[in-house]
Amino acid sequence: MEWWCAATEQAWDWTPRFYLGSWLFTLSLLGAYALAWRRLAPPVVSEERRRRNRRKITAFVVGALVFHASVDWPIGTLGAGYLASVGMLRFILITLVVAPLLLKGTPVWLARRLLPEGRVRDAARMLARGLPALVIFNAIALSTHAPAFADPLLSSPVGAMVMDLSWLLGGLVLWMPVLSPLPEVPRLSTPVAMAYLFAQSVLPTIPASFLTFAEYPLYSTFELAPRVGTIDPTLDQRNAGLIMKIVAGFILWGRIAVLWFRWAASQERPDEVTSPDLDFDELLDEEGMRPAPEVDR
Amino acid sequence: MTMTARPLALALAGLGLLLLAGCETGGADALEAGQDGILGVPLEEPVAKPDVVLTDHHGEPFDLRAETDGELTLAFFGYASCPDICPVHMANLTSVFDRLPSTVTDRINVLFVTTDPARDTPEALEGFMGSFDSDFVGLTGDLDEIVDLMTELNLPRPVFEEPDDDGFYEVGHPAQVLAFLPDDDHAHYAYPWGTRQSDFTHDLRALVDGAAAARP
Repeated sequence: MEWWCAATEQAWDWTPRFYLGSWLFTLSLLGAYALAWRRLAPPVVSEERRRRNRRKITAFVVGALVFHASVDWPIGTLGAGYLASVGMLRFILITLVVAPLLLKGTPVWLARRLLPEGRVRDAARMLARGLPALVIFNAIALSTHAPAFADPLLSSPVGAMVMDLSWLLGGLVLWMPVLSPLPEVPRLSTPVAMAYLFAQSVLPTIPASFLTFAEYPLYSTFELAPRVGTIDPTLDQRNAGLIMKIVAGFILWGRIAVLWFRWAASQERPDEVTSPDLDFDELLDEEGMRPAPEVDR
Repeated sequence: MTMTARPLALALAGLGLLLLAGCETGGADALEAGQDGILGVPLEEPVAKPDVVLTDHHGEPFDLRAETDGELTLAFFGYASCPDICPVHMANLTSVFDRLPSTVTDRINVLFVTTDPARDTPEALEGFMGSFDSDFVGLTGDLDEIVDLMTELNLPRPVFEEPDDDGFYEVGHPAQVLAFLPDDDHAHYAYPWGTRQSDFTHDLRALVDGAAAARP
């Protein structure tokens, strides 16, 4: 039994491995979420509210389960110690799938508890302005993919855990300007949000190019790991670069497309759509509060 | 750009430069070049190439000195059922050979000497070597003969673990690759476990071209 998936230099096989830390983390996350709904959730006042609550819970649970899959056997094991391409897939899953699902699954009343008025909420407000979030996320992404940091981190369960949790934190920061669950931390307006996500789809081109076009394997972790089948580490690294660029781009452009269509619909029927993102509509019947006006920054 | 974002952007740019600068030196145990520009670890005392005849993976006799005389020769001692180090070393050397021109690789011998001749018959070695460069040679022989050879090269003798329920056992063996130079047929450098493909590529080019002639 190990604490967290990390590089071990053991030969790869399909025997399941148990990671205590990842199970504890996922169960704690889901347990705390369930407890919050039981103790803190306002009473359900309508069928529509019940339907929205169900959707939020589903988003959060799916996000937590995808996170667990990313840090547990076999994806976590392969990605932390054997294949850079699977490692990149984990990064994409945690930052671009798990983080937005967790934000979508966070109800307003819980977000208010998690981001209390004061410095914490001021910090969230600052991050939700776009550029700071973009800078912080890419600083985390760049540093955790630099061989000088990634190799030592992946060599220990604690280091690997720090890396995974920093990806989760970075993902939450990245998506905050687009999916903020709090009206007091306003989202970017739709055109700005689309530009923001477009910028994020372009920025990884630089590190992805390093991975795709490097002549030699950059990471000692994957170069010296026992081989999985006949996959060559240089080819695996190229695949990692392509995943970083193409899969991440696909997810971000998919979100841009969703924003675009909703925004277009709101322009055609301005009386029917009160918010470019329908998730925010819950605020209309939440304590009678309307969302704060969107801002262009 | 706001006042808040500017320091963040500068910090990111600085971090990026720092990290990219570190890309080539990733890894805690990176080899450092000596005065001769070679990354391999110089042996305190060069060791002569042993005079021994083993059996190659085709079942043919292999006279070590005669077959490799005057050529750069890399020798690694391991075993075919090794789950980790042996196949990785050999696969990395294969990747290195794929990158080097044939004018270089034609002048290099790579020898994989088994430390587990009971299991590593020529047939078993042929299967193992089939995963790597076709010019690499797998060698087997009597255990005593191989242990003597390792002793002559100042390498620790193999250590056999107890077999598990399936009869599988691991064998402790040296993890370094020894490099015998073409000019004097002596081993001058060792490449420990952790040597990167880029390190091998650099040194093999240099050693074939005689760069090590300037060694102290």
